[in-house]
Amino acid sequence: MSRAGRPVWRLPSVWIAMGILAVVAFVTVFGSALAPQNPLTVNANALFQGPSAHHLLGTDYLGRDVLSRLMAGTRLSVLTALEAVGIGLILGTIPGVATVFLGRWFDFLANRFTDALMTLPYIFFAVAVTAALGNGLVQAMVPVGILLAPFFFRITRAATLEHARTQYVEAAELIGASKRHIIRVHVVRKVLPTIAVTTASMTAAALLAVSFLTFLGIGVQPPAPTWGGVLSSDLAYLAQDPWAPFIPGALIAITVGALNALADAFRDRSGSGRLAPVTALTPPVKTHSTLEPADDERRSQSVA
Amino acid sequence: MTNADRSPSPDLLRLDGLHITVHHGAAAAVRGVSLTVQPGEIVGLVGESGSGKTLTCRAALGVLPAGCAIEQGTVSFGGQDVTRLPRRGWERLHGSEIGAVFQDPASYLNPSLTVGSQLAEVLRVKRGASRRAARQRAIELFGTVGLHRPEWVYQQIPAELSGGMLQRVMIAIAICGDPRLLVADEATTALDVTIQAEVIEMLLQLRERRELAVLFVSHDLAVVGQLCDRIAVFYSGEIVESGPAQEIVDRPRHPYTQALLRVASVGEFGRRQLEVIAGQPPQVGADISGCRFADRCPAVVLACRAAAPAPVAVGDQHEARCLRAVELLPELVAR
Repeated sequence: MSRAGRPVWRLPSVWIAMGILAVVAFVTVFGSALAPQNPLTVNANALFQGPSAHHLLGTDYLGRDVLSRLMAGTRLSVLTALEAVGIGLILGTIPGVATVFLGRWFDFLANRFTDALMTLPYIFFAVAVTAALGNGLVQAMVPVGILLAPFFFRITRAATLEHARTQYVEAAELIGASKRHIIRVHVVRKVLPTIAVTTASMTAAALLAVSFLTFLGIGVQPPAPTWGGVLSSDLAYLAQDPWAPFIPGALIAITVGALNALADAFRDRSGSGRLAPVTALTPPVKTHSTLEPADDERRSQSVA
Repeated sequence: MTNADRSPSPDLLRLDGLHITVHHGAAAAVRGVSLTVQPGEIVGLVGESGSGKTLTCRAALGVLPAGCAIEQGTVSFGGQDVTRLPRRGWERLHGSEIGAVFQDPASYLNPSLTVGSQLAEVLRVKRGASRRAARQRAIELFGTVGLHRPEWVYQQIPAELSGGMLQRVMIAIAICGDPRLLVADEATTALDVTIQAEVIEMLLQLRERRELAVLFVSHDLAVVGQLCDRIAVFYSGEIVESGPAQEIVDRPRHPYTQALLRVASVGEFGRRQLEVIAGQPPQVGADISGCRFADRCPAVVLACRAAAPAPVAVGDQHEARCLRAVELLPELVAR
């Protein structure tokens, strides 16, 4: 490998995370088609059943097949979470980077606006927005995304501030680099890992937000399945079926964990340095004192 | 240094009566500094920490830290007044007219990018070079600054190179736009003695080949004496002595310069006891009516505390800000 260092895609944690996310992506696309049973079929004779050959993950309080509901619910869960995170990402990160470079007044106003947004409880905000715009998935996720934006904004701004004050940014200014160049090459690249980690955790928060809103009848309407919805309903019947919440819970945790692992690897790779390359351990490189020939060249000349 | 008018060559950099305040105008850290740098000339700024060398350099670079401002005086580059130049104007000057290297090269390079890509990026931005041409030119420049195996160096991140190699990389980046002036702020301070000598030798050769002028900042008078054509000695925000390097090293006239030389012990390694300059410099912004060095001066007289001394000519282009400069030969000053 001519380029020293270990590429991010060679890390085992990245492979595992990518594998998990690939499965989630596959189920997102084909989950409804591949579900072994109809996720909406109620069976009054099979309430709260444990895992069996017929119901691999058991049944819920209406006798519906949990595996089928989780598979069919993957698309709604993932897409709604991604929609909210996408909105928050765009509304939060772009101003987060821009405020650092656009002067104190813009920074002040953006911060006060963010403070105001952070005081809003997202449940009530979502209820108000859906009341105004009509109940639906998009309408419910827009307020969630708007309320995720301050988190992206603050984290991005803090990371940008940190990197914008580094000496290598000053060095870039001293070679005449424009603000745009500095942001693109020295700031955004360094801030991206932080954003990636935040996106992973915000995706988890969005998955949970979908479940809360589903529980309230906002956004995803019952009986349409979502991971959060399954978790919420299982939690309501903890006394009858104590192990049931672990299945959707584990599904959410594994997915979020995979996102976090991927983000961590990305952050580590883009951080203070890459893993020590084998070539760096060998001592072949030395500087020669001036612009004259190197020592070994001089030595060979004197021998001649 | 006010010999510019007598010089036949035009000044590349000219600082005239520069006053710089810190803490949003609360204190003056640089007081009436005037100096010139001519094309191909190496001018050294020496003095202890806090004497105003770095602020003067940063004023010349147009990158004063937050809270600092030029209250009076002008900075001219190539005959153009750049004291109030907007950022876009500085963007044109930086890199193509003025380059800079600093004490800690590791922190002035992006730790997550290869040093080669950082130099190539500069070439692409400043020179509009294609990706391939920028890479080729970057490798050439690494060779120019004496880096062995430049292709290998190109692919390394800063953490994989030694301090000396990183300083060479910084110099390569600083000179890649063919600037006329290089500001080297403590560029050799963090390097060991042998690497220091290599970097100094390299700067001398760059000056010879490219007629590169260098504003060289250091607290080490021995290094400055070895490298520079002229020296300006800073003390408490003022230039207390300036003149040709050899003249300053051989016949210093200001008691502070004399003390600095004794402390630096140029060429003298047999002494068993380290010397210090007794006392402390005045606080930044302290309002002192007389000579700012009076409290530490072994040759102080009553008149020194009465009024601030003006620069006195003590030789050809040699000035000292001391009432007794004419009479104070080095050997007469008590140790």
